[in-house]
Amino acid sequence: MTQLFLAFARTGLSTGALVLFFALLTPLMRKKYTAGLRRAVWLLLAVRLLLPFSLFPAFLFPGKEAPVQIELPAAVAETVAPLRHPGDEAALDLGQPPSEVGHALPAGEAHPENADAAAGGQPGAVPPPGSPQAENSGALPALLPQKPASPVPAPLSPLGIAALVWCCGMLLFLLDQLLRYALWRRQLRRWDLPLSPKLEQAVDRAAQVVRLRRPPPAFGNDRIHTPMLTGLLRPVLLVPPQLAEDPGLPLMLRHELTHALHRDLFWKGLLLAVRALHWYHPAVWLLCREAEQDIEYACDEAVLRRSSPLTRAAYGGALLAVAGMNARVPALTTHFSAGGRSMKRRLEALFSQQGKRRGGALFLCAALLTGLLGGMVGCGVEEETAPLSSSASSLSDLPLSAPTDAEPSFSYYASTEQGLFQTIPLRDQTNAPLNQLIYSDFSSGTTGPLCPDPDCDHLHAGCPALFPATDMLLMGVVADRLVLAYSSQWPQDPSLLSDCEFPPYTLCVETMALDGSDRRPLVTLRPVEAEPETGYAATHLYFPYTFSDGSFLYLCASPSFAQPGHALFTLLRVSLSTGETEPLQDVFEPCLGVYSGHLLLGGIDWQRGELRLEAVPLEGGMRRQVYCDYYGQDSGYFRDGSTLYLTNSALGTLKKFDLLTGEETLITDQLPPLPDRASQRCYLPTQVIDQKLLFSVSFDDSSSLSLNIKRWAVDLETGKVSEFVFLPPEQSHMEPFWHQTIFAATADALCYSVPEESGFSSHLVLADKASFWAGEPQLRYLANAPGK
Amino acid sequence: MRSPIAHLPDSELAVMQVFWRAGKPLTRPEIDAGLAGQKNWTVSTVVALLIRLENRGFVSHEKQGRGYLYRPLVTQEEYLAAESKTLLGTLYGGDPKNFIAALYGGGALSGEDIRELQEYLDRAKRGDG
Repeated sequence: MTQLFLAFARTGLSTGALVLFFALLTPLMRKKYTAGLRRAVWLLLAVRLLLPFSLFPAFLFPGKEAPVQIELPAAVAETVAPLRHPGDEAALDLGQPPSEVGHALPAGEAHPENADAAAGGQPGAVPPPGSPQAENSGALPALLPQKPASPVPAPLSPLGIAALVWCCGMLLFLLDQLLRYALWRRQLRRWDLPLSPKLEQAVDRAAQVVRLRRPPPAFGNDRIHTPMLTGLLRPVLLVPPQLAEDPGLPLMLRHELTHALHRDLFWKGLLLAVRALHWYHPAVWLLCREAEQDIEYACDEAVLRRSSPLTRAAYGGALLAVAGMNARVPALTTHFSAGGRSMKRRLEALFSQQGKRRGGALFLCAALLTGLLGGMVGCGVEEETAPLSSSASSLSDLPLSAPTDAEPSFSYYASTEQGLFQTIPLRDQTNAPLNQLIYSDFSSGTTGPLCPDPDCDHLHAGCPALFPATDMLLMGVVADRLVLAYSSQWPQDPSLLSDCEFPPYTLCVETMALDGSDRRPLVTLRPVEAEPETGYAATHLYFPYTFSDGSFLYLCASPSFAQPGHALFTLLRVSLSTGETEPLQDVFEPCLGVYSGHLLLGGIDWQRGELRLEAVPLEGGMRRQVYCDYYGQDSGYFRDGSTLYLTNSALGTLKKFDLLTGEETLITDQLPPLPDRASQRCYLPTQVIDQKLLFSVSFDDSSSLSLNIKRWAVDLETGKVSEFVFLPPEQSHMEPFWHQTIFAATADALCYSVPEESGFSSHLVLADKASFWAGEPQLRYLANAPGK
Repeated sequence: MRSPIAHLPDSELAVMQVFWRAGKPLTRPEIDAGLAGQKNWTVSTVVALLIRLENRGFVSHEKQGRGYLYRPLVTQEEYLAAESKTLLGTLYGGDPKNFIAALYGGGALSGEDIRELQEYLDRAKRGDG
């Protein structure tokens, strides 16, 4: 026991010095590094403290133990004083067998021979009655001189007493803690009850968000005020049922499940063991306190990674609400109490997470230092690396979602092989904006509101074709359902508007069957005041910045109050199957799109004359450049998924650049020369349809002195360039001289709109594909949309 | 004057919890329904527990139709208050922090602290904190 005590004491001394070193660095680490890193460093030190077989390399740090000595409380210091004698430390060398440690102690204090002499001659040095060592020594006084190297320390040795005190203290501490826990949990277990379906759903959602595959079993419990995770071996999540309606609940649950993900209860148990082993060591208590604090900070950090200031504020609010549940009478002082100060620091940390480093290098330094100071050898190193790697994994990037291309894109129209979906803006009786969803059927040629009820007048609330969309309605067809996203002004509560620079919007995503039936809300995101959890979405919907990859919808939502320094948008990801919405990252500039798990940023830098595109993984991570090349007045580009099309009118080239592989292919260098008096010097590709890239150039027609237009299509397979028009030759005077979008391509036809003779409205037409690409389109007019 | 509230064994507490969750007097089938999924007790067990609870002064019964209506006499708050006054409750009233991961594990904050922190939070939310 004495040897074990000595071994742990030595570990305590060396690692204690390191703890103090890192504690001094704490303010710096708080500022520069993430809580995850600090947590990892503390836990590394804690693991180190559990390993007793290190020895202080005296040759490396001869006088190092002196400052640690001061740390010990007076009573304990007196008991263990012989251990920390300077000469003593020098003798505790690596190569010395543990059994001989007793010999190294200075004469007159703990030397076995001296102790024997004392036992034999001095009655004043009799050991405490009842101690087993005392009885033992009394029986064997004559034997001891013959066994000078006995591992059993002399009965009167202060070291032995210290070891005994240490052991008793350890047992008492453990007993107290375990008993306390067992009683508490037993009391509480009587109140466990099954979760209500609503709470169960909330727990499942939170587990999905934090990516916890196997969430711990969860119970309701009337006796607690805040959700908690408890249990060392098999953690259990307890949720107070009265929080079911609390807006902060999802964030609280995410916090708890993140603890489960980090296995924080295991680490807390480990810290408890460390405290039990080194209960007399103030530096160890300091370590445990800091570690527990940083475990919380790291959890906050993980929950709020990539979230907007609004979510952070909502989280802070939930934190305060929990802390305030047992609020006492107002204190007389205006300063924070100790709890208040630490809470303030925690709240501050919520808002200062950006720009901190994860500090892999620092962690390695800490690991090395711990290993070096602890004199780790052989198996010691291996034992240490296991927990190290598990801590480090929590710091590493999360894996990317399965890469899929950014199709189908969302736009103000959507199409299938059978028909086209569009919207027309309307106003209701109170002059509030509405959007009506209309469907044009290609085979029957009819157009009308997308409502399966033949008796509906399509003008009153309840008609599935009516949407209270303030602006444009965005849609796409995903998995044989129509997905619609729109924002509508937050209803009519002026008190909510006072705080906002822009009126807040509700952002809705709904799905419906392609025949207009079974319209269902997928997710509704409200301004922060109404629902703190989804506060990041108090927003407009930005039309060019809405993307889909078939299983998710990506929305660039702007906070309802834009502040300098705040993100321009929060990129939200909405699962099209569950409606689960999570903020992915803050975006500080307009984004170009999503492709293969990446967000595309950047654009044309006219000053440098280059096009520079950069990509950030959607889950967060390093931003890197994916394309950078010359871009001048003669250049044009268009992106389709992960493919970039680049034209150069001076060289007559069209190139294709793959953003994933970096591969560049020349499609053709035979682009036609620009017409005379062209209104721009470049070809601007505008659309890829039917395996063809379309581009057009308008020019002053010298013969008619009016604006005219030339359109070309490049076959992406063969590189063949052909001219095309939207109207047959006899109607060429009506040809629109702007870029015209082709809404849909079916197997044998293209769908687009052409101006009516009067010029004030337009008709939807189907053009026979073969004749269209031959430059003489044969048109079939579809019935006009009502209201147009 | 009612006799002091006794500490209930687990099984009797489970029955009382059904009353407290329902918040109204219950018939025995209703109690059975409330216990479903947690305990698999026979009718006679539940009746025995109700009799014991009645002897302790926790419930009373009155005739209703063909059966009885059982009425809780002790509220959950009263019971919890009494339970926390026991010796163990006094000794080990606090939560064992080492075994819990909760959103906030510190001591209670004063109302003043909370108010100041809320102000800080509001400032931070507006972006000038």
